[in-house]
Amino acid sequence: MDSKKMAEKLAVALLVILMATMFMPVCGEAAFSRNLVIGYEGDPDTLDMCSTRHAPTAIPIAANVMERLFQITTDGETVPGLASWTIAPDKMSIDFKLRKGVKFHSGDSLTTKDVIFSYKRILEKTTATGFRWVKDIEIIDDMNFRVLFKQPDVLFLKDRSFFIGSKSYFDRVGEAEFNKKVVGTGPYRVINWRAAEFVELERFDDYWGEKPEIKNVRLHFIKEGTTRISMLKAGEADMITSVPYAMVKDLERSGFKTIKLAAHPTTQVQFQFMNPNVPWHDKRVRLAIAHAIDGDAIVKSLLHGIPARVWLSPWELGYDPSLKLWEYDPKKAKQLLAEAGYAKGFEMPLYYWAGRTTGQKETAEAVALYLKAIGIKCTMIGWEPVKMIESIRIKWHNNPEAVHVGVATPPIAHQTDPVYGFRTSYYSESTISLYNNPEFDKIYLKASQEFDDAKRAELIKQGMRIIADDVATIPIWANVSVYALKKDIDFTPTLRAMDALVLVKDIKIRP
Amino acid sequence: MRRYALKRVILGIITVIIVSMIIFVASRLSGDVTYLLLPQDATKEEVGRLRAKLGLDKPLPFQYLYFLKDAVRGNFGKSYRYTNREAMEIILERLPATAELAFAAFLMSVICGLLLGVLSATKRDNFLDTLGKTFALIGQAMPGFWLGVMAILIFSVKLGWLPTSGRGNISHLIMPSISIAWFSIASILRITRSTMLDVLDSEYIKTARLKGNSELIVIWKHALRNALIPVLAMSGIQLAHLLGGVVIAETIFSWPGLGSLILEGIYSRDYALVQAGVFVISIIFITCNLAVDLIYGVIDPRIRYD
Amino acid sequence: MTQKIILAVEGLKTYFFTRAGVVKAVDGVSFSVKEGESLGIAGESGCGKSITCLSIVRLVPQPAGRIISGKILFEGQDLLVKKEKEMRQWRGKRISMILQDPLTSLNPCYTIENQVSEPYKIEGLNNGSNNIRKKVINVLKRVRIPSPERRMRDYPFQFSGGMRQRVLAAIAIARDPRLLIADEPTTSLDVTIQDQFLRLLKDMQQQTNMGLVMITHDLGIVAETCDRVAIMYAGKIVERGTVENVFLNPAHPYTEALMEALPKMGSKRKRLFQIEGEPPNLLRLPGGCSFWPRCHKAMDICQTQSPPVISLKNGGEASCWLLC
Repeated sequence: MDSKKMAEKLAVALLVILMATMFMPVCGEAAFSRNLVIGYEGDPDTLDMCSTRHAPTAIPIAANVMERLFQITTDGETVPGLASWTIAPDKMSIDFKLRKGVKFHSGDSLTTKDVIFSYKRILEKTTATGFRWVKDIEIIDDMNFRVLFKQPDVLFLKDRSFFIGSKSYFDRVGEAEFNKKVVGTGPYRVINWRAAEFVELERFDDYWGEKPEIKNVRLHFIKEGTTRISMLKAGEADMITSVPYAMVKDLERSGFKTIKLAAHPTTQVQFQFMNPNVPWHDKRVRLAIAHAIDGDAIVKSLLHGIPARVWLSPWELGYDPSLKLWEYDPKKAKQLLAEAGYAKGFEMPLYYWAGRTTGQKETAEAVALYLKAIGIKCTMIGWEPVKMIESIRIKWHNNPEAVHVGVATPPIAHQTDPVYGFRTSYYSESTISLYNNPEFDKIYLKASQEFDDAKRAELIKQGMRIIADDVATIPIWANVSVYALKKDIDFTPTLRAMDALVLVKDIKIRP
Repeated sequence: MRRYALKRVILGIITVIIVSMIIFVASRLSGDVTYLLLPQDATKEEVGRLRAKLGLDKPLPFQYLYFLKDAVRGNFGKSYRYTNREAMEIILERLPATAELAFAAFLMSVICGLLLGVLSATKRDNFLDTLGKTFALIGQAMPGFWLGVMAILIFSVKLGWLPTSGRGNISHLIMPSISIAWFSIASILRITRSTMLDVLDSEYIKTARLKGNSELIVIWKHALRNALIPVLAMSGIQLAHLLGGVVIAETIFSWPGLGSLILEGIYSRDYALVQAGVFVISIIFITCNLAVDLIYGVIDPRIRYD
Repeated sequence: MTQKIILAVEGLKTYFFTRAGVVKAVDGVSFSVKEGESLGIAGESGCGKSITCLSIVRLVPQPAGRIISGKILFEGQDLLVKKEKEMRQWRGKRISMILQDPLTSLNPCYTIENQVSEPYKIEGLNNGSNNIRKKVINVLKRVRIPSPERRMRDYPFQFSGGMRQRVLAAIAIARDPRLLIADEPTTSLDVTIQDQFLRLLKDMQQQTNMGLVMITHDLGIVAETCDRVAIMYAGKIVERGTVENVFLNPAHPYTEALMEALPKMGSKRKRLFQIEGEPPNLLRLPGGCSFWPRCHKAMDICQTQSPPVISLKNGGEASCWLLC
């Protein structure tokens, strides 16, 4: 083998490969005429909301394409979407009437067949806790159907998961294509979806509702916060979601608009105090801890003043202006500890969720420091989600021998309805609840079946009072989702999601 | 030569199998994925139902056998993180992106590293040599993450020369590949330099000069070829580093590649995805090492006739 | 018949500048070589023989080594003033050198054919590789390598030491140089091969009438193959002359001692004669004549002043105070 010839051949081969790489197929940029570019931090698992297992990441995008029977506004109110409804007097069923003339992107018309199809699909593919109390759905006719309940459930109308897909389309194209090219009734249709890269949406001109202003939008999936910000600054994006708190001021100074939307979750110090042998079984100790933590300082210095400090926000049902968070008062805290017999302090484990939720570790560290100042020594234990969930469900839930205090984010504020927080986080039957109070349980059960808003508000107030009086949890900060936009873009969020919801129809370009 | 290659291929296959076994066991032992696929307050029944549906309630050896049964036909199972999609399909979809990036970075690091290393060795103690050494030092000291972020700030935001992120044409490839390659360039530079210095003292280099060869031929024909062998060995290691470093670049530059995909899979406990991904990466890695071994044989005839 | 002088070295000084000090490897060396003549440069290891020859072709190891002064007149032109690029006109073409160790002097990665073709490629021959190939086969035949057509496709490691030395010889004579320098060409060969190779060199010399400089520490080889000889000690030439004169009538005490040390057939000696002492450390040369610590006839002046070069009656030269 003549080495020189071989070397020549190798060089040519390399050169060819290099050239090929250079002219590799581009992502069709030339064909797409940009109207709006958004940098979004998630990566949807699918755009089919009837089968997603990772709703928080998928909804922000998919909600432009598929729609629910009803919408939940930023004020927490449920308003008709694809359907209007009447609640039966015994509350065991709700009659829905579909809106006339609604078309899917595929051209098919919306009928009750689609509702049943979607219902079954959601049940089969996800685990819709929104359907937990649904017994069945009956078709009355093409436009009317009835939802039957095992027990009255006000949260059904606050549920985020009942999206409607097209049965006819599914029958026509099959599972694979249905998933690839998602079809819904929403104001935007999917033109192109490249996993991990972007999704291109185009305005659906047969949309039943108000036609949005933006015609074409491309949402890029950019996981890294600094990269999103760079995109905005470099002019590549018109708008970005989930701005890291630390960068908000900088963007404002650079001439961008920021919009803050109250979101989930609320980071709290949560107690499991069923165990008579732990110091925090005594309410005075819990109260002492509540007074020992300076939440305002944590928000201001660790989180750049952006999150909120609330039990519930003023626009939420059951908001009680007289229910306030505890004052920062370390002297009082020490006093309470002494009263409870722990003048010398004690040792306490402080769990926190390690992994990807922002701010948890930092909050836990801050809390530990504050507690150190009053004599409580915290052992920080950071576990990642799977281990944490497992432990809560198996080790600590309803267990009178549990030893657990943790910084966590059980749902409470900024949900579609506070009763959702009650049900998930504090109702003793919830598999991840660490609280067990029959009084509270009674209030929750009543509230979950109370369709009258005013009456439910009262019950919510009562429930919150019980939690607060018991010092079952100490809210530290409630997440606020920050968007940043170019100055000539207007964004008025109308719907609420976990965070980072971007309904393109809420975006307008100022001339 | 054939025996040499065959032995390496077989070793490679065995390695891939062992790796996939390890991944299989490790990922399932690391915690129950069902919790991540359900709302947190799912009831025990709901959890049990999903677990049974996913086949996770069976004992581990059974799970492995089921997995193997499908895997030999190319079916690595459905992804959890990317609902409704076949894990292997997603992996293969993202493979070209990672290959492009890793290849570009590898090429860059070998070519630049060799060039700069040779220059550094031949213009010893000269300005160029100092430049080369400084360049190497920066590359090995700077974390790739930082390099990437700084590159975006300078070249995209301030100067507007290059796009911030994503994959497209070659302008999208430049920053990600450089930010990964720099470290490798540094290593290859150093080793090329030191090997070249050794080689240039050899007797056969004197012979080459005594023939009246131009300095160019002495260095690029006679010296470099002998210096290549340790450099190639290092390239094999660099490839491993590159495959790993790709994850960082993929995250910062939102490059739709395998690295960040598998990382996402690990976070989400997506067994199928991780399995398929690691399988593919280990095959790539072993193939590349095999290629390096075979190139040895081409460069150094003594190895061929072993 | 008057032969032309092709090489005249005058006052060559090559020093090495190390951290430990200055090593005067070649300290004022002068000699000349005629066409068709073979000159032996003999001396102990480390006396500066190799560096002298590397200096002639300007391949002294850098950056430590430097030629300080002197003239190297090759066919009348002073090579020391030439630029490096110009030197390449001489190397391989007019002056060639065979290095000492055949096992490391060939590039392990290229075939014999490849390496032997290089001189021809440099020459500019390239009308079809066949032309060069024929030349390669020819020159390999000249150095008596069997089946060159087949064997030239082999790699150096497939050749024995002796064969590799021949290949180096082939490379050296490929372009018919006027002067060939052979640095200890037989040191790493066995005795039987040695003989063959030396005869090969002599034949080549006769064929082309080129000058031959043979560096060696083996006086036997000098006796067999050289016309004239220069004896080096500690960087200087202590005696020069025809082989006959130097061997039979050594003028310098060092040369005497060397001759004494040669084992003789039929000698009744029980022990071989040894020169007392050791070769000096080139970093710390004794003052005056470098040989005085080991010289039986050393005088006071030897310790302080370097002896001048004295012309001898038989045509040779020597540097010794005894001759004044």
